[in-house]
Amino acid sequence: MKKKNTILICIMVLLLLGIIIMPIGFPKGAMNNGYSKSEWTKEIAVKDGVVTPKKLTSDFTIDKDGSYRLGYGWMPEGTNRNKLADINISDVHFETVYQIFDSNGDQVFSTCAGYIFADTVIELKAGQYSAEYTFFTDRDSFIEFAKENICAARDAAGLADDVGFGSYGGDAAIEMHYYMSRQTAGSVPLVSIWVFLIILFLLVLTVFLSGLNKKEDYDERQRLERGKAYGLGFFTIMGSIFLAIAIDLLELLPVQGYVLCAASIFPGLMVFLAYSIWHEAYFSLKDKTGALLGMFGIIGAVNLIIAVASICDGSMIINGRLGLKALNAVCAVMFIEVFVVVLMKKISTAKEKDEEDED
Amino acid sequence: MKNLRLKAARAGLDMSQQDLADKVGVSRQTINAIEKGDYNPTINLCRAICKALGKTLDELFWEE
Repeated sequence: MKKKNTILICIMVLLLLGIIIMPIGFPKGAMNNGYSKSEWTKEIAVKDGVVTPKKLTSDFTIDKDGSYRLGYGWMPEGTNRNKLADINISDVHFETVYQIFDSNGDQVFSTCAGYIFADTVIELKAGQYSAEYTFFTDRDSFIEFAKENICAARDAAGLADDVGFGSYGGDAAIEMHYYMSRQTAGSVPLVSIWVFLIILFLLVLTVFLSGLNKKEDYDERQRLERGKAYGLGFFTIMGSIFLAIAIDLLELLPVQGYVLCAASIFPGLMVFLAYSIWHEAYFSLKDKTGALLGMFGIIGAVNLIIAVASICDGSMIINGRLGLKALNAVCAVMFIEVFVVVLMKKISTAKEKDEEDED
Repeated sequence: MKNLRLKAARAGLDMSQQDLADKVGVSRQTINAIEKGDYNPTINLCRAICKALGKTLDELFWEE
């Protein structure tokens, strides 16, 4: 058994290393797929509604015909890409129109936004291309430009409305960070495939080995009760998924879709935990409930602290909807529930023992 | 239905539920559940309990 545990610990360490290496593997692997990236910083100034410079240009070459993934972005220097949604529209001072032209001067791609990072898959022929960034501060000149370059005349006004020029900030001088990357589309970096496959293999091995360990640690009644607990948990998850779909479709709660999706797993998990703990089927014969009780309490408390802190600093709500940090609150509720059920069960078991002694 | 014969046999040997559970390789709660009639053990567990208590299946588990 000790040997098996050592193997499990080694696998866990390897898994951790793999997870750390995987993101490093992506850009390394990407080098094999024609990946190239250029980035630069430029100060863009707005004074009395006039942007200086009016336009920026960046050239690039495509060596052979094919499908390419183009990455592009423009944001103030130092902006956290993960917090782009938190930027107020008044923080934006000008609209950027991004266009790509081929060597004949024909436009092959265009998009526009205040600040943005995105990517697109596009068919490109071998040759010279030019990416142009054009800046706007007023609605009318944007509409004129959009009519000719981006979309049909009937859509240009609608696009200008979406942009929200009226709410943009006034004069400013902003250090803007630009980047543009190119990569053959549809190709997955080679290094990452291997890292991913190794992680998958180790994961399966871990589940298999830990499964073998567990089998011996529960008696027949515990296995029966665990089966019932899994069943109850499964049907609860089914119910909560349908509820999550209803909440999302009918917009009953202001919650981000991915949070709702993740949170819908928790009720089933909580039912499984509560049932199996109460029927003494959660902990194996060798588990020390005292240590686990302390661990559950600590994890619950840590999650609760994070949840309360994110409520206080407002980071739990993104764009008026409950964000990822709401899951800390759900986690806290789950671990506190486990803590309470384990504690209640301990008290009930102690009473049973007393009664047995009296008998 | 409570299994008082099992409880009596165990008490007769001055064994606690935990002692019996350790001997047959199950949790104390499982022995408790069997004694309280909340759980019907498999024949394998019945045999293990009988061996541990020095009794026959009839003596402990046969209902007359």
